[in-house]
Amino acid sequence: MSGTRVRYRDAVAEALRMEMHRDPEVVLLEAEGGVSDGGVAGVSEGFAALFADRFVSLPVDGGSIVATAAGAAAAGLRPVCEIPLADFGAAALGELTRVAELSRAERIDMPLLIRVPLGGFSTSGPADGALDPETWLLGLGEVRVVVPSSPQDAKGMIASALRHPGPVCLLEHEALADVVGEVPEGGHLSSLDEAAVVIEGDRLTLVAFGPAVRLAQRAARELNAGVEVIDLRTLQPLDDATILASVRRTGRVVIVAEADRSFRVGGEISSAITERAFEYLDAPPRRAVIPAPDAAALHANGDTPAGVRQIKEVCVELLAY
Amino acid sequence: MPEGGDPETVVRIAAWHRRPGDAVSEGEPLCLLSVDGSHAEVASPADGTVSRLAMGVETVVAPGAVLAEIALPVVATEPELEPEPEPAEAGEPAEAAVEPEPEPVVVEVVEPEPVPEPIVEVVEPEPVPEPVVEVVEPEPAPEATQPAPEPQPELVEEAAPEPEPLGAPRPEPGPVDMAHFHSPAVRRLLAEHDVDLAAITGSGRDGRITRDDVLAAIAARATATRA
Repeated sequence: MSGTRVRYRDAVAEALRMEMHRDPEVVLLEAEGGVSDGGVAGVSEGFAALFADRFVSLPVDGGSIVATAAGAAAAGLRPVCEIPLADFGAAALGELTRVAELSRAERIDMPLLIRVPLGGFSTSGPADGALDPETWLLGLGEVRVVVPSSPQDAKGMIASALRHPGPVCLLEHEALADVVGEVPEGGHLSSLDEAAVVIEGDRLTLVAFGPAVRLAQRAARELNAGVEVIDLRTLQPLDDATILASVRRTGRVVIVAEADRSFRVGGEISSAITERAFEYLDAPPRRAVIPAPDAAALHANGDTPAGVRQIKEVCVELLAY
Repeated sequence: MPEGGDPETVVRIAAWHRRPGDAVSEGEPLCLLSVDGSHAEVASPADGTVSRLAMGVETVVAPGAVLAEIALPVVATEPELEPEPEPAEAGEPAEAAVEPEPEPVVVEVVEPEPVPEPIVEVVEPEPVPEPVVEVVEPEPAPEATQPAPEPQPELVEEAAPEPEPLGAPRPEPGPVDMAHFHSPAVRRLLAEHDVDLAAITGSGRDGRITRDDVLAAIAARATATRA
C-alpha cells in the first residue's frame, strides 16, 4: 500500500469524510460556531455543506452535546461530536458517566465517537481548569480512551471507532495538529486495543502517549543506548501486555508524565509493572515529568526541547542505576 | 538485664520462642524483646534445655534481671534428661546434686540498647545448689521467680515521646548499601543460574551488580565451557 505524507488534522478530516460516505448512520454534532470554522481543531470545515442532512449545530454546552449524541447513539445512529474537555468538559463528564452506565448496566450499544481536543487550541486557557482531563475519562471504564500520536493512527483509529459498538473518546492534542506523517492511501483500520513499540531497544523501556511519544522518540534516538519506546495509543483499555513484555526484556522503565506526576496514567502503569513484572526489574520504575508539550516543542529542530532534556536525564540516571 | 542504659528505655518481653522443657541450641532465638517499640531477639548462649522462664510476656524487664535458665546437656553416659517441671523451686536442685545435673545457665541481658547482648553466666554446679535466682541490683526488677508481674503503667506514660509537629519532615531512610543490594532481576537470575557472585564486578551505581553484569557472567561461562 503506497502512502502519502499528510498533516494530522487532515488525516482526521479525511477519515471522517470517508466514514460519512461509507456509513449513512454517521452524524456530526457540533457546537455552534463549528459551521464556520470547522470545529475546535478546524477539521470539519465544509462538512456542513457536504453532509447537510447529517450535520447538527448545538449550543456550546458539553452536557447537552453529549446527551444529544447519547440519545442518537441509543436510537441507532453513529454520532460524532467534539468536546474540548478542558474548556467545557465538566458538564460533558456527567453525561458521559450516564453513557458509560447505560453501556454497562443496560448493555445498550452506544456507538458514540467523542473527539477531545487537548492542549492550547483555545488561547484563553482552559475554562474548567484541567490541563490533562484525560484522567477524568479513565475512571468511566466502559468508555474507550484512545490517543493517536501519528496521522496514520488518527485516521485508522477514527475508522475503527466508527465501527466499534461502544463509546470511544479520541484525544487529539493541538500540538500534533500540524505534524506530518505517512498515511496509507485509501482507508485503513487501526487497533483500539494495542500499544505499539515504535523504537526497539533492550536496555530501557520508555512509555509515552500522545505528543510525548515524539519527544520520547527523540530522546531515545539522541541517547542511542538501547532505549525502547512504547506508544501507548490506548489508555482505556491499557495494553499492559505490551508494556510488561518490554519491561521483562529491558528490566528498566521510564514513564513520561505530562505536567503532573501524581494520580495520572503513569502511576497506574508503574503499579502494573511492580505487581506483574517485579522479578524482572533491575531498577525502580521512574516517571519523567515534562511540561505539557506545545507545538513549538514538537517541531523544534535545533534546540532540544525541555521535555526531551528531562526525559533524557531520567533515562541516563536509570541506565546508571 | 540492661545495666547503665537509658533509664527511660522500656524493655519488655514480646514473645518467648521456647518453653520450659524445650531443647535449644546455641545461637537460636530464645525470646523477642520489645525495646521502645522496636524488636530485638535474644539468642540462646548455649546448647541445652530450657528449664525455666523467669518472666512472662509483656513483663517489663529491668536492668540485670534474669530472663531464663538453661540446663546444659548431660554428658554421654547419662540417659535422657527429663525437663524439670518446676526448676525454680529452691528445693529441687538437691536432685541435681546427686546426678551430674546440667549446670544452670542464667541468661541475662546486659545492655538496654536496642539489640541487647545476652550475657551468659555459667554458675558452677554447687554441691548444694543455691536457688538460681540471681539478685542483681534491686532495680524495680520483677521478682525473678514470679512468672508474670503486672505491667507498670507509669513506665508506659514515661515512654510516650513528644508528638512530632505536624508536617515536620520525616528523616529519610539511610543510604542503601548498593554494592550488596541485588535487584529482583538479579535475584531471579541467581536463582535460575549457578553464578558465583563474588567473581562479578558490579558496574552499577556504587558497585551494584546489575542484571547485565550477571547475564555477561553467564554468557562468559557458557563460552568458556564450550571452548
